[in-house]
Amino acid sequence: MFPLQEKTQDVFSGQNLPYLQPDTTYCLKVKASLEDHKALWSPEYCIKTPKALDGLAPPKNLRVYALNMKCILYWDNLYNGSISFTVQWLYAFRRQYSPDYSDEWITVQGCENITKPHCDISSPVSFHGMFYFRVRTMNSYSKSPWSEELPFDPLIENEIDPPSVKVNASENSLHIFIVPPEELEKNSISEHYSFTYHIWYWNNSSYTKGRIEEKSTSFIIPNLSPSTVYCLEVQALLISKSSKFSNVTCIETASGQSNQVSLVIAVVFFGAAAVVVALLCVSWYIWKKVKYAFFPSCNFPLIIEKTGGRDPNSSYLISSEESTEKCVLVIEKSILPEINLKDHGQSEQSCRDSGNYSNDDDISGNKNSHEIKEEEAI
Amino acid sequence: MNAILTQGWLHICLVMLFFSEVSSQSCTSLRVQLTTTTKNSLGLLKSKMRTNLPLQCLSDMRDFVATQEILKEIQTSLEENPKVAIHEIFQQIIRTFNQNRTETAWDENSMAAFQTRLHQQVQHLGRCLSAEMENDIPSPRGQNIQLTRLRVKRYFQRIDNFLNEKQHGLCAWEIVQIEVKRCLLLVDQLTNRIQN
Repeated sequence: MFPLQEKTQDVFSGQNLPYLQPDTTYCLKVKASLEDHKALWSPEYCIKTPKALDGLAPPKNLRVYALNMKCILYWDNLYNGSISFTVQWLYAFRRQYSPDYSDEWITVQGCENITKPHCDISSPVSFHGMFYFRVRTMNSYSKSPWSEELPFDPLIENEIDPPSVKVNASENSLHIFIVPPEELEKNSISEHYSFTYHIWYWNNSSYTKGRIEEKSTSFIIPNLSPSTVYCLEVQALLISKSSKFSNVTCIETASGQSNQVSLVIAVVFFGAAAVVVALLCVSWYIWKKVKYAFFPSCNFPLIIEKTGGRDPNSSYLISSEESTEKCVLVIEKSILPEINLKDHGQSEQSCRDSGNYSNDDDISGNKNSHEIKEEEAI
Repeated sequence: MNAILTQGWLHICLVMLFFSEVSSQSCTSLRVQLTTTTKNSLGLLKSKMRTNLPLQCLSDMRDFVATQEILKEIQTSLEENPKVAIHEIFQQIIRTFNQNRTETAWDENSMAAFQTRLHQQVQHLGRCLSAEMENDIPSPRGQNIQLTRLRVKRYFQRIDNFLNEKQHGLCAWEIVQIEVKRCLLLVDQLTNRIQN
């Protein structure tokens, strides 16, 4: 007697149970399961498998490798020689909700009658969905039964490449630029979900790491020390999946002191320049005022210059008065009028010399009045 | 000896910490996931389905009015126990749309994308829920959860009955898809009750 081996597994209506032994009696019983409900077993049903497997055996050990949503299905090839494989896929929900899902399988485009034991299954896969795959072996004579059914959930199984990072350093901050993990043109991950980035950064002397969580691909880490070497590594996160860390990138922040010195120099230079310019302006202004006051560029009319600044009327009046007084006191008629006339003639001539002036008439008017006064006095 | 023991305990603690971290990882961003799924599913329904009822369906609509007040059941269940309610609602929606739809001319690819998206969310949510339930001995809380699921099932039972009455006709399906949209809108509004 063979030992009784009992095995339990979840099945759905229409499911294939592969890899059974030939010429063996198998018994099965089924019960429904629904959350916390308790259910009863069905009666046992027993069936004997055919004597020997006269055809090909189905492929075994199916597995999917998915990186950045490029998904490749691999399986073990049990044969040498001219055999081929065909891959089929199915939406996972069909297993659960169809009365019989066995006729809902669809052949994957480009994975029909292929000779290599792997195939790119990215075409039916979308990021938001769960899928099943199965494979069978074929030659020109026969087809194997279908393999086990392999579930695939890209949200969980798809791996993400680490992002790449570029860093610019200033005196007290780092500007980070992140390039998201490489994407396929189809099935673009970021079309549905945006990455979150975890950034770890540290400086070589302290060994304590700071951590930042960012959604954007370009941002600044502020409040850093100048002239310090900072290193950082970045990880991309997509829902519950995280990528490996990017390569460690190190950069030195700009030295703050030299900057300060140059700032001081600049301030001093510009300050001095401003003061010099201001002084020049002030001295020029003062010079202009002095020049205006003491060395005017325009000359007084000659008549004014000749009188030496005295009021011409008064000067003449005084001199005539004095002469009249002298006339009263000393009677020397023969000399006095001669002198007076001489004086008068001189002034008359100078007036005529300056005949260019527009106040000629006034001056000649004055001359007349002078003559009259003198005559009266005499 | 003592040191080895301490180290052993440390290892155990670390391993336990690691496992709890792993098991809760996909549940930490649950609310964000649910919101995105609901909005996206609604978008799929809105873009591919009719939003106005054809005139010949108005009499069928009158037959359905009786179920309108039962949407309150959904609201109650979402308020009681949002995660469980959403888990059940999504399952029921997938199941409902997997019935005989030969009368409709809906885009099959969009419908499958809609269903698979909900299904993926059901699986993730189910894992989070079972992780939470592990600590729960059958209790008043367990009964409460049963009640929440029952409310949701009752609502979808009415929809099923209506579809059966109308023999899964075009009008019945148009009315049902509008009703499902209303239900998803309610889910969208009440998802923010979930604590991350």
